[in-house]
Amino acid sequence: MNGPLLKVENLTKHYPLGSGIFKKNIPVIRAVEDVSFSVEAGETLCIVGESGCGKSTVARLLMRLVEPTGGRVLIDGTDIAGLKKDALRAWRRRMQMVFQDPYSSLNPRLTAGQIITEPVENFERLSRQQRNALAADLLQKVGMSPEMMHRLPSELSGGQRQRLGIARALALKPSLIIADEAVSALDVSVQAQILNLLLDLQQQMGIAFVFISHDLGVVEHIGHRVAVMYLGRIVELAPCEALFAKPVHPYTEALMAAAPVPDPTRVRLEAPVEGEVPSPINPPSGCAFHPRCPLAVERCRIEVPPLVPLADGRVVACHVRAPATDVVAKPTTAANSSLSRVV
Amino acid sequence: MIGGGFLALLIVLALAAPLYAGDPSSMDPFKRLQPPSAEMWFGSDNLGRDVFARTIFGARISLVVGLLSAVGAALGGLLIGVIAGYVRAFDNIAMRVMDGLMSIPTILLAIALISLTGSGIGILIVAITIPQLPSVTRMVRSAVLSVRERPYVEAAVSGGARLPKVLWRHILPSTIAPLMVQSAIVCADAILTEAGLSFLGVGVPPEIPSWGNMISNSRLYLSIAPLTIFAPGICLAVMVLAVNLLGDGLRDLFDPRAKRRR
Amino acid sequence: MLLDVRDLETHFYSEESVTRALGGISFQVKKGETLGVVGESGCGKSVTALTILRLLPKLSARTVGGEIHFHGRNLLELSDREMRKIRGDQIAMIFQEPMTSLNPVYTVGRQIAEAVQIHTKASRSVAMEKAEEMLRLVRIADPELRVNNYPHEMSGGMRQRAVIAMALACSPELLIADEPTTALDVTIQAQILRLIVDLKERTGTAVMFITHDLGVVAETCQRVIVMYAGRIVEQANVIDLFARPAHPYTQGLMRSVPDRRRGRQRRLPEIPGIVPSLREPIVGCSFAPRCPFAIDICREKTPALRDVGSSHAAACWRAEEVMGA
Repeated sequence: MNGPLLKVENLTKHYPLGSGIFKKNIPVIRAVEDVSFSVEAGETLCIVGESGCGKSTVARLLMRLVEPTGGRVLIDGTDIAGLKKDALRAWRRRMQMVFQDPYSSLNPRLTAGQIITEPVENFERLSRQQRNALAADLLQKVGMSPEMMHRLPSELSGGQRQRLGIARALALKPSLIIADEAVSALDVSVQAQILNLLLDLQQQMGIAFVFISHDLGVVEHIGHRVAVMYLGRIVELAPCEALFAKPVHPYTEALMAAAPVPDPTRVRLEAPVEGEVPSPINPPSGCAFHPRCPLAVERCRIEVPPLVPLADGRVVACHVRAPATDVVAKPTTAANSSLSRVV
Repeated sequence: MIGGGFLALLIVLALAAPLYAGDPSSMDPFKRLQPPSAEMWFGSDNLGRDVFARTIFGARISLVVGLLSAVGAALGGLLIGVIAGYVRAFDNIAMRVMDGLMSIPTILLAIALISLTGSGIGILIVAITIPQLPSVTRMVRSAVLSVRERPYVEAAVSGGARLPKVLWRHILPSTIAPLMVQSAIVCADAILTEAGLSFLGVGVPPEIPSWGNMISNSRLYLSIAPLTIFAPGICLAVMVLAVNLLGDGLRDLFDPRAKRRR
Repeated sequence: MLLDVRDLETHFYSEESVTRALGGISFQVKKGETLGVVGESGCGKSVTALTILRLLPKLSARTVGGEIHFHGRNLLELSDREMRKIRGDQIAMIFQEPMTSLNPVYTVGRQIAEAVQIHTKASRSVAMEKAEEMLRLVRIADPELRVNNYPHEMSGGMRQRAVIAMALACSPELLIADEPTTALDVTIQAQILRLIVDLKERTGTAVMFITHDLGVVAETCQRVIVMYAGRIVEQANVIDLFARPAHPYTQGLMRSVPDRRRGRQRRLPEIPGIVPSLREPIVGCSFAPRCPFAIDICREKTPALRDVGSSHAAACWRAEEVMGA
């Protein structure tokens, strides 16, 4: 196949604050601002960031659970944002989602078997035998015994529930799974089980993942490439090894330094980054990280830094660490023009 | 569940009325305002009609009006509530209409409707049901709103489920429990409203025995034949109590936490 | 010895069953030290804190055995009134969700001042000054303005700082922190952890730090107890624990955390199986069904906590072999 499996171009989502038929200039939450990336078949792209950075909104935009304010989401070259209901339903088969909370993401009134076969039954009729065979097969794929299909979610442990969530996502044999904080609610020992399961599934079926997480340890473990988001924008996107070997954006650096390390002999030298994430309703001018950034210069307050490609295959949006030269700044100028067109 | 059992007993008694109770409408001018006797257990009223038979037949009216109003309000409320919970534009309009309905006293609204169309049991039920719609609709709507944001509903949508299936399989089941409880409350309220309207003379036509018009007719003879007013009065109180107990029982059944708290 | 807990047993009762949430645990907290309590959900770490403060729901939970000595007094024998005096004044607690401890209808300053007034009988204005001072201590910017803020006017990180200020307002001797940073973002977590460590050094308050995160333990605690299925399975000073874990559960837990220092692995070592139900009595070691070291004796007899080094104890029949592995 030519081109990437998933291509996201200048994706933007503004949530209006309150409804106003009569009011103009309603304040908006700038949840996602001009986000572009692509995912190759069989690859894992991680999106990391803290709460309010827009990573979960990106997941919901990809699934079209919310409508984008601007930008395009292309699967195999087709823009799903333009699709009508039935065509969209067909495209959903290519892309499935695993949710964060293993409790509220399963209907408490349905049995495990009903939950995981439902996506298939949305598209075709299944006989009783077919349904049971499918349920048994899916359960085995996620490491559960087929007898579990008659259990209710409340009779299962957190890890088993998350396995069900994964089985449901696998039911339509998607080529891409979006996992939104899929292991964050789990205990460490169970988390390892689920991460291993995801790795195995990727190896066996060649599924691509968009793995959204706040946990850098998990991201480093599972990702091929990593996008770091801050206040609705990608500030750094890099191959996993390169990013963890040497973060370039000061925010990526701060995030890594802040993560607690299970080594009591390590002496923490650096002071944690100051301040808190500003509100996405009224984000700081220029680079959104400048009020907390130790490197900030005058330019950071004025100008939004473009994503600049560096030699090792990463892109970074920072005036200080990756100053834009005239030649390479092109992608973002294009991005800006298309954004203004949409708005 | 005492309420349920008692209500079932009342329903059986009312259904079987023609088998054991006498004719509720036959008048006998020579037996006016008689005390209880073996022939007429509760005595007779001012037109010499059998108060026992009238009370039993009156129960039929109360039950029919109560149950049909409850069913009507439940179905109507479910329909409007689910759509309002799902369609924003409709929500704004429907909820303002419901607010409007709620601001008019139940009895006045019913009297207005009946005076527009004339009396009759059918119109009476409609007139009693409409004022009950807002409470049911609001309840259904809030249940839908709280469920539709649950991740499992989003999961169903991303799994490719069509809207009707999402509604039927994932959203409706969680509205059923509160709906049943609310319906019981509506039922009790409807029984009282019917009695009130009949008492005022705008309810069921006077020739049909109903507790409301029995009480109304007999109020002048309270000192001579107290049973003519107490029999329907006590029955009314007992039936409303039974329905309310049923509602409480249903709530405890669906929400065991409420039971433990008490 | 500030706090001395002996054979503490707490049970939860429901209509159908009894959950043995704490199956007899013993540990101590010394003056001025930070004790980490680690374990996964349901291991009893939060129940331990609530049992010590006697904050468990009276209807459904009962402490059926053991003693909690604080300053030589058994907390389990105190009247409710005496207990109230100790809570907040000598033992304070902070929770995962700061809004649990904050009343949304009063300003933060007033709530801190109230805590001060209850325990010191200071006048209102003195207490308000103290509140401002406490907010400055927890490094909230512009404390003179922030005292007049309502909790909803603050961010999550700032609320947790305010809760810490409230907890420390009466200079307690023991601070119990139950997952105080779990709901916060990593950069804010780093700030709050640093704050707790700094304050502990400055005030000499002992801290019992309850968490599921081994990284947090490594950065904040001096001694650690590891809990599993309502029991303490290992107890050690933090350096020894991470250098040579003596219980297979501790070892498994440490290995299943993604850790870049071991290099990038494709598969994480996982602990197979699930945590046992505490509703049925457990025969033998509760970890045996998931344990790679388990032998016959593990399935028959419950191992007691025993010394495996200086100030290092583990409840495992094969602790020596585990440490060597």
